[in-house]
Amino acid sequence: MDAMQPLTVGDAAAETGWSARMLRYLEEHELVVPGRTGAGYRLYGLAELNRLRALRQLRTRFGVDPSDLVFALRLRREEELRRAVDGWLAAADDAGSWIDWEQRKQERLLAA
Amino acid sequence: MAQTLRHDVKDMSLAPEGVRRIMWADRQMPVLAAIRERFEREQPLAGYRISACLHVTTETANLMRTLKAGGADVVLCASNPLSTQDDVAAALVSEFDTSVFAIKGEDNDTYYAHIEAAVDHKPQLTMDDGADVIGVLHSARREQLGDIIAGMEETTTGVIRLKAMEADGALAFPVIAVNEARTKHFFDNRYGTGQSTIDGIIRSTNVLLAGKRFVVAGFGWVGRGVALRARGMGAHVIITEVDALRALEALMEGYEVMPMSEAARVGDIFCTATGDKHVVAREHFEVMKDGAIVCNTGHFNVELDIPALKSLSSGSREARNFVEEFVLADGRRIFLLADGRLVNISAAEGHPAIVMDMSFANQALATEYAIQNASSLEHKVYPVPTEIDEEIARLKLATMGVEIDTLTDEQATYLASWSEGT
Repeated sequence: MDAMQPLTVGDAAAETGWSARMLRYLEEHELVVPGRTGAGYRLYGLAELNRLRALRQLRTRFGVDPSDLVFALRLRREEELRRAVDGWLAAADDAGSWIDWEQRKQERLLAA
Repeated sequence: MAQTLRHDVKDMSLAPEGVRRIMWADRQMPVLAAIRERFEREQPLAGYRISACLHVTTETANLMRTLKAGGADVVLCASNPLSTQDDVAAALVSEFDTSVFAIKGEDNDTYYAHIEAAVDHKPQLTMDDGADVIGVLHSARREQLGDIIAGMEETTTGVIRLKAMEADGALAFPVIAVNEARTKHFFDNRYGTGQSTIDGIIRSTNVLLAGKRFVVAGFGWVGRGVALRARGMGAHVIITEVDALRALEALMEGYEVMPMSEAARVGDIFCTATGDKHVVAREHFEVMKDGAIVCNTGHFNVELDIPALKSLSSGSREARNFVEEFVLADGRRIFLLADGRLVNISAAEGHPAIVMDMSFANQALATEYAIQNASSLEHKVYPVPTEIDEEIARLKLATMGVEIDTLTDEQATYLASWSEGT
């Protein structure tokens, strides 16, 4: 197989195991952006094909779906979103952790 | 102002949210607001440098605003690295002109560096929730001890430590034990914890209190509050005590009083409020009824001997949020709430701002008192003066629109002659 030849969206899909629809989704969210022919057809080169294969690996190894990656990208780009998510996650174990810390502090005080 | 305040907070862009929440808490803190108004007029703290080490929360922010209004130059650091509200820290720096050194989740080195930063402020007055600033001043910064007029301490544990220092002759300036004010006990311990403890038990278990045998260990301020509310919900309340006077008082209040060894056999719900350890111990778990609910609202989870409960059990599982079910060898089940941690904070929301209003009103007025009485205070731990308690009670009544009677001249004279005549 001549992997050095850029592939059309259909061939790239067949080659990497994703659907053509998924490839368009990935392009739309700037995760894997193919080149274009003069007539505007998508062309997937070696780099893009490798990115698509690596994405399959992420799914196999970690269960990461492309939509998860889209969210990961948002977390990197949108600071406010990241703060809100951090805050929400941190709030879950708040009460327990600060009380435990308080307990250790006061035990040290009494032992001094 | 041109000068940027010294500070170390997580993210200044959080300030608007902090302001919003501080102002919400402010609505629930009318006593502090009344003091702030007077401080603004009278400037009793003008020019004084204060270093405060408290939980960096919306309520504390309103205390800082009050001290600022009185003319003080204030630096705040955290008394617990995990309770800091980063938005509040940012708001204090950007909107309320207070230096803050506190970042939620900061490591131990940063935590202590922030306390040092507060001490770098060269304070004349200190405010502690666990003797941190006082501790640094008495060790690494002894050269600054001479600057200090007085310190304020918020916690019982801190006061125990400071009284030990006083007994050793090691205390280098006067300290006012803010936690011992009656207006603090009433609200914080009796009504605040009384309500939030019941709230925590009900939220976590959805149990009906009416008709249950509810055992309260300890008849101090917290125990009284819990007992009163539990009885109000229709529970049959049993008190256990080690102090004869308190036990007698509980009995005369209409509660049943018995040792824990007996209460353990009959109780449906157990709540410790003693400040001591292993109040509910192995021998008590051994005789409890199937389905007994056990929680703590006193000092820390050491009030319950949780390791003993674990060793008696073949296993445990999470029965509900905040409820761990232990199965004993004979099949009986015991339900432990919130890992034995303070059930009112863990499973409910702890103190509402209106409770902190009374505590922090004591802090603000004790600070003013310390300045006014600097020359007569010795290197001792002092309770909050009665006048402050009375002033806060008056302010609180006024904010609630409640009026009371005053003695006529005739009555005052009569009372005075009475006390003189005895």
